[in-house]
Amino acid sequence: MKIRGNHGIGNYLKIFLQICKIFGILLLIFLIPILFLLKLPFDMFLFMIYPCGICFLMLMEQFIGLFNSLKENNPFHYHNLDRILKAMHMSFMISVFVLISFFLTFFYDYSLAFVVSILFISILFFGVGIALYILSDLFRSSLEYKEENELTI
Amino acid sequence: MIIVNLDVMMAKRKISSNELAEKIGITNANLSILKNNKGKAIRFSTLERICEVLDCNPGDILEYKKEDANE
Repeated sequence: MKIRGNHGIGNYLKIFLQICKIFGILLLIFLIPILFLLKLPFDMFLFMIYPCGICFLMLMEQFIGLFNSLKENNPFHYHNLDRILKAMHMSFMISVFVLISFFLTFFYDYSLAFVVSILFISILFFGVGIALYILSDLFRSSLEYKEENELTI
Repeated sequence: MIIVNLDVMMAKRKISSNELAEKIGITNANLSILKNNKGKAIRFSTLERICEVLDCNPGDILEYKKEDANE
């Protein structure tokens, strides 16, 4: 299956993420009205969805840019290195916010499975952040090789 | 640092950039990179063709210059 180009998987993933981003923005906007309408209780823990959600939307934005460069057949560019680094920062921030949420769950009556899963998400995003850090270093060295190759006459 | 004195040799041989690029078999853009010392490396094959066309030695084209600490 093709990865790059207009009919590549990169372009389809980009479209998918753009749709997810729109739904994410709508969810963040209408979360409180929905909770009010459904008369569901909301606590401090629920408000942690906002910083996590905003960071996640920014993380998605970076991946949209990455997949867009795949679509345009120009993935090896310094813009993409910046995007990977931004995505790494967002992952670490989500990890921290989810960890704060984990501690907040102690003040409310949440099931143990839910609390454990919150901790798992925090560890997961921390892992993603580390993976992105390694990937950014690999990407940087590949960019250096590319530049050297291009300037070898 | 290594300085490429290609333009000096080209002037001596009275050859234009376009003509040299065509005879070596590289693009004008790449020859310009080489002339302006923007290149990172030069292939032996390219150097060989340049020497062949300009009838010179690699030492006539390449020069080593000590970099100043202030630069």
